[in-house]
Amino acid sequence: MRHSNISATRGISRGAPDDLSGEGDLDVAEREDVVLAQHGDEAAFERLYRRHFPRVSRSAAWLMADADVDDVVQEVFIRVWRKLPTFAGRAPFGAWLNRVALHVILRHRRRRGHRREREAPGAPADRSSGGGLADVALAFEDAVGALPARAREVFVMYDLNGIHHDEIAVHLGIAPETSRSQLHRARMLLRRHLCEDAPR
Amino acid sequence: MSWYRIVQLVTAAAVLARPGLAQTTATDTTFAVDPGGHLDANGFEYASVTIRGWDRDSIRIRATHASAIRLEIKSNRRVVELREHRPPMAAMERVTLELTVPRAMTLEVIANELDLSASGSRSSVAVSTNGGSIHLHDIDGAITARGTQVTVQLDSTRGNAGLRTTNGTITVTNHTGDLTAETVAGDVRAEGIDAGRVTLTSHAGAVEYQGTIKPQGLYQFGSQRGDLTLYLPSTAGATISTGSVRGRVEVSGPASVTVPEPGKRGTIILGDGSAQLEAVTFSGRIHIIVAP
Amino acid sequence: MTGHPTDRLTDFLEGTLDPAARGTVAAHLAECADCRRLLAELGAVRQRAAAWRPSPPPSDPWPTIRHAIRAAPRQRGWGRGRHRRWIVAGAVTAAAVAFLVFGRGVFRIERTPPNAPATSSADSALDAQWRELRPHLGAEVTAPVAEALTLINVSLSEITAAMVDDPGNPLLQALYERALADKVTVLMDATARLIPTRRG
Repeated sequence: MRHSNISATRGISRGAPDDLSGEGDLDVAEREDVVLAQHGDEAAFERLYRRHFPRVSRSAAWLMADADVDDVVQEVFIRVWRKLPTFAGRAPFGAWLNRVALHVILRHRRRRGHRREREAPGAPADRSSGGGLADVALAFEDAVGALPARAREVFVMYDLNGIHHDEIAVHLGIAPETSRSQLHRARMLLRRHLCEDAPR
Repeated sequence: MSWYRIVQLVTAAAVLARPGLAQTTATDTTFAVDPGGHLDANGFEYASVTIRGWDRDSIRIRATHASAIRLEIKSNRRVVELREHRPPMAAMERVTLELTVPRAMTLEVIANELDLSASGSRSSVAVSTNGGSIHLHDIDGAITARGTQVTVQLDSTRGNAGLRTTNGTITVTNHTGDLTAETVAGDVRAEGIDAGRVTLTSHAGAVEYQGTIKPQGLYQFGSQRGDLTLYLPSTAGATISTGSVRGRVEVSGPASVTVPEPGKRGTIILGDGSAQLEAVTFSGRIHIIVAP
Repeated sequence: MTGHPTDRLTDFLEGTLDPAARGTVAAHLAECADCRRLLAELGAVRQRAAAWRPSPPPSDPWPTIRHAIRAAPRQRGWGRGRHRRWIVAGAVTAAAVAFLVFGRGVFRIERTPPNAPATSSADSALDAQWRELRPHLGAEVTAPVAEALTLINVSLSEITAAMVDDPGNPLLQALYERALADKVTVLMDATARLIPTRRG
């Protein structure tokens, strides 16, 4: 046991309370669904699935070979269902789910050995090397899919799933500086497509 | 037992017709009652009620409301019942009641939306509402206040009080008598309390207590995520069981004490340790301040 | 200044440059319209990523997931094996304390036998009662009650998650019982709104 610091100091912030009114991007409906699903409500879990499954599926497709995506997505949500009682609400549910999904996706990649490069036909060359880009307006997702593999992986993890460079570096077996430079490469390539796509 | 005598609704009523506005009915009636009787104002949809106690064996009822609403008053001298009959078109109309009652008359008010102010009673008061405010002043009797989304305020009250609101703040000032104040989302503040049994709890809000710690008393303070701040007198003799899972326990005062390890429950002894005090949170800070 | 610091613009945007480098890039941007335009384009990519709403994936594995979650047992988030009995014993106390018959019997929690998952049973029973009760309540009651129950349910999840690491902690048990009692109280009060007020 330790002795307290006897003083009349005040104004010390609360110990780590959760700000329930601002749980990341959770709205009230999702918060309720999380709680219901934690207590076994399958319909509530399906609502959570419907909300988050497209993102998980796209991320899996971009980070792995297409043939594995459905299996991986199934494993992600089965795992989420099983682990949901341990979700304490300290982070937004979407962020927590993204981490579970990435864990599953990356484990599949490691099991299957070196990832296969997936380059779309006519993939844009890196502008910095002086090559020209295909003069095609691609939708955002097509543009992401057309990125060089490493740049795509870093972009999907950093910009679309909120993972920091240090963690990306660990997952992909690269240096953090490499992760940062690949992010830059991805954004430089994507900006071309956005300018043509021009959603203003 | 046919015990109701219908009191004539309007002894000095005036129907006020103003161009462009709904018609309003005003009622002002006074009649004799048993001073130790019971007032039952129940089933009001939307009401503003002011109750004052006086030293007479009669009750005065003044009411103002839309004419579409019918106010019903029944009395058999022992029990006075107030009811409203409200058509759907008058759903949002407020009924305003000003009641002056014998101080010994017990009071019960139940409404869906209610702003209540009561003072000067020397008997029990029971209030229940879904939303609004409850303010009780200078009451000497048992107090029960329940609400969903309502603020509760007591000051200069005496008697055992049980206060509960789902979302709303509870404030008690200068109260003598056992006190229970519980809320889920609001704060609980109790100051100037003279009681041997106190329970103050919130789930998300802060809890603050300043008052006596009586020998062999029982005091319970808790919040899941809010802070607890307890101001205890220098003469307090209590065995304090306290702890916070994620927060911190601090003790300020003239004497050196040992606080529990983070995440654990521990015991602090003040004075002769005769009262039992519990202060626990999950993530809120606990600050026990002993006066010099 | 020699050359354009284009390879550092993404780091500049993300705020990951050290102060000296940041100052250098900022000074260049003040004088170079091309780099300012490039920075804006890179920022647009980041915004586009943040605003991304994934398109529907080509397949929907929900039926397989649903089948799997129905078939598989679930991690409860508390009470691994040998600790389960202790927590259940304490939780039976909580469930027993929470045995109530109120009003016309619309609300009741029954005592559960020992060695059953009483904690989750009592809590699940409360949630079931709420789902049954909710359609009968007016909107002015439903919203604040739902909000309160969400607050309490998140707390219950926090506490049970903490119990995983510290199952023998009496402080956690006391907090759990209090939170469960709060839930009972909220539902009791909501049930009371169902009882018609006396009419003359």
